[in-house]
Amino acid sequence: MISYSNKPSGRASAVLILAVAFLSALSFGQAGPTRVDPGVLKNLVEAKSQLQTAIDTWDAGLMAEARDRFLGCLLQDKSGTAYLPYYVALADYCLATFHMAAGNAAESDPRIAEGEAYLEKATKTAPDFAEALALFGYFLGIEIANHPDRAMTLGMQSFEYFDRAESVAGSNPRVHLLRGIYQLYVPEAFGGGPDSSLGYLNTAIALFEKENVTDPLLPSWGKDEALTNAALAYKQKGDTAKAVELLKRALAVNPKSGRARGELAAIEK
Amino acid sequence: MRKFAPRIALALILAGLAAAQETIWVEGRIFDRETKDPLPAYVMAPNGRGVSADVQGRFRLRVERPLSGPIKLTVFLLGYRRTDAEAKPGEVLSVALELEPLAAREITVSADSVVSDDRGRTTVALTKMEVYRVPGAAADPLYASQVLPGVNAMPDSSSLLIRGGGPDEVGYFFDGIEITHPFLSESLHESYFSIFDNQIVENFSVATSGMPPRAGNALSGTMDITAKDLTAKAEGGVGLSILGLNSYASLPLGDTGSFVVGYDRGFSDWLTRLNSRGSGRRFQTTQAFGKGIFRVGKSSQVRVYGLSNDYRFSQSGDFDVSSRNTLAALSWTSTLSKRFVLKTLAAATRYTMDFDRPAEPLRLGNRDDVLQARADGLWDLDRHFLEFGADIQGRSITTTVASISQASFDVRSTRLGFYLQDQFRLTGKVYVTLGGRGLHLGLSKRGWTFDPRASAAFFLTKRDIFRASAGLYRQFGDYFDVRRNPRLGPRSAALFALSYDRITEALEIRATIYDKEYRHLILADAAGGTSDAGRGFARGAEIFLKKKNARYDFLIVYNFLASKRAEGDVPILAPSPYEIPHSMTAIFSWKLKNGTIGLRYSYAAGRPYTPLEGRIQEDGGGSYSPVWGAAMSARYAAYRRLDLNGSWTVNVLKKMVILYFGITNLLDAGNVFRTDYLDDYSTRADQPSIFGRSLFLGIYLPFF
Repeated sequence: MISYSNKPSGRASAVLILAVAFLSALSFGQAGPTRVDPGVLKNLVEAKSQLQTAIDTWDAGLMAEARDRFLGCLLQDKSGTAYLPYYVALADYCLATFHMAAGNAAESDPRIAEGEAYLEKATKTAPDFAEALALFGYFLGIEIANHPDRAMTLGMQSFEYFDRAESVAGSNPRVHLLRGIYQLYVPEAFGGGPDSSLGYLNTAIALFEKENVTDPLLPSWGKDEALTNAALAYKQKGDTAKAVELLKRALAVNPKSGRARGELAAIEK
Repeated sequence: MRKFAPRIALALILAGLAAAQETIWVEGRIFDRETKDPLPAYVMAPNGRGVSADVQGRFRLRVERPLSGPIKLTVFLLGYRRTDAEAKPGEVLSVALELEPLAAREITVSADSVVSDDRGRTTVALTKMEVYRVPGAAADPLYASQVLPGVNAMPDSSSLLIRGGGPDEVGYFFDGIEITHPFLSESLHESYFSIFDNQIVENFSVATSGMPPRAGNALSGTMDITAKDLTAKAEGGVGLSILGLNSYASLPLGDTGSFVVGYDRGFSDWLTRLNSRGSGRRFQTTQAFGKGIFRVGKSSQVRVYGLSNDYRFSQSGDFDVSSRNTLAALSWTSTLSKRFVLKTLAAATRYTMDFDRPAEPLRLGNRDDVLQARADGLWDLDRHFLEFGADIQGRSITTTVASISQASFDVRSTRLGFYLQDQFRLTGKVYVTLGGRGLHLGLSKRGWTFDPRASAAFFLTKRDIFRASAGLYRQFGDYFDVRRNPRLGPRSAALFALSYDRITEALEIRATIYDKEYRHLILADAAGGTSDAGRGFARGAEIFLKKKNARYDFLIVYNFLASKRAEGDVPILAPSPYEIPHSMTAIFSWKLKNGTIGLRYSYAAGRPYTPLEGRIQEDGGGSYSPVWGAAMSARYAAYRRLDLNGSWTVNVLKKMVILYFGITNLLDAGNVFRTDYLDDYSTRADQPSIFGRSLFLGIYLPFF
């Protein structure tokens, strides 16, 4: 009689446990497994769409609602993906920028702090998550804008985050987009200004042309923003014709972009 | 009727379901369980929909009324434990959130002070820019450390006197390499400036209690300096001041790694001319540093170090001193897994010093060669953070005295050490470090010693931390003494300290009390021998306060110290020569639109010394013997100094240029550093501080 057991022996179990432990110890650096629950993914798509609408209409209330939906996805998620805290931070980035543009530093400060905290969580899960690293660099930049006395410390740190993001994923257009926007507001004495900014934004525009994101979990925002910010850089340089051309391209990409529409109207007035 | 019964039942069920689907509002308030501060947490209903509370912690959420029982909610805020809450219709809910515990590695358990730009710190810190801005510190890490709590030093010498300890009781480490001579200028009485240019320093920490066991052979404290490392972007700077040239560059080498280089050249001629101090003193310094970081595979890095410091000082017509400090090191770091890192290091350092006084004639020479190797493991288990390792150090010291005749003395020995430390989370609020270090010196017949150490940090709230530490520390004294008397073991200090820290973005406070009991101090006996029967204590308290806002920074530190020792040729407990009973530093920095102005006031009560009460003529000849008073029964006058500095940032050709100035000892206080006597003890000569009123000017061009 042949006896059969599908239970591994004690030694085999130990080897198996060690192998699993070793593999799990080595599996780091990625942005997390992408096996997100379909229900969460559906909510995420809705939240991303809502955030895009909020940006297009420049509506802080909608941004906050989108943020809440991202938080809901994060709480329901079992996969531990780094993308979900990243999206919460992305909504914080929009809200912080909104409040700063409205001259309300007190409102933007908590959004900056929260955004940085969620990005820390994302990069803790995935240390080489370039999108999160670049966004962190940008958050440090807006923190400097609110608190100029922190410039000497945070300025170098923000450069380090951007550089690390670029070294990890040099072909990611959003890494260049965020750096380009950042450089636009850095004084020329510190290596910023429109020329420096355009170096990054033109790279971002070229990379967006090649980008084709099909996975709903992955970030896909920014193409019209790259064009709009490049237009602003050209406007700063006095090249309004180029600015108009880029704004029209931005509207072709996203006809609902209120910012591109507003900038175009301002130039053409 | 029977036909319709199921339909009626179905209708009733549907009606019930419809009632269950009724939506209601749930309101509430969310706050921190300890601080009671409102929290803008996210509240989620069972259907996955939720809302964030406002800054007052208030929320209002529309939820579906459940069929029965309470409404179940999930409350979440990053940094806090996720909490489930139950609400009844009509009830205003109160939800208290508790902090999520941090990983063990994220906590500074002992009450150390650091210089770091990192966020989320759990200890008192200065930032790199604050080091640059400390008036009178010349951007020198050692001088800047004197404003940290627990450092009782006067701002004159760069030697650190930590909690009553002597200058030789501090261990200095540079990227893990033990540096036996960390000073640019080292003489018999005092030391000036460090061999570590602040430009190439990434951060440093000064341990005044709960010293990490990886650092051995240090009785009072350690200073750990970390040099700049891997970089993704080139940066650098060149500065020119009346003290000379300083420069550094940090260069990425693509996927290969990075290279950090620094070069400084200093001289006193311009400083002397500008400040009309033609005292015949001249100095020259040259410092060069290079560090290459090379990636090997995906998980290993090799680091190669080279450092050279030259110092020359001459007192016209009197003496010349020259010294050289060199270092070469190689380290290998392997990240064997996400949680385990192994570091190995081999280093060689050499210090040489020559003193020449042609008139006597007298020549002194000193050479100190150190070969060291160590291996350290770091194992992050989240709740536990283990550190362990071993080190070996071979040291050879040669002293040469040449006067009418020449004599040479040398000593060599091997020192061994090992350590183990576990930093772990005992509960969500209590973090503990337990560890110990073994120490052995070949010259000594005492064999191995083992020092247990323990520290605990109790997070009263997120911002308020109470710490306690107790530990035994040992350090061997002069190797020549140990060779003469191999029964001498290491000197020991048992330290107990209690601290309270409050750390917020705008305010940092630390209050500490401590007791340090010294044993086995080296005592000279009447027969010219030595024993380890010396003892002593240092007891004190410290208060540190740093306040920051957009317009100014303010820092004040006060140290109280009572310390006695029976050591050296003082056989009874007498005030320690390092006892500065009261020391205080206050710094006020104004933040201007494009610059800063800083003002620093330093006060240190006088140190004790043994006064001369008379002299006895020997055999009726021309030579005299001193008659000393009671040991350490007199004190020097208190030390006072006011320093001013400032910097402005201007744009030149779209490049940032920093202009800076400093006035040391603005009021030209005549501080006395020590007292000497003529050879016949007829005349007392007070040695003034070298920091008379002096103006410094400089320009710095950073490159990004």
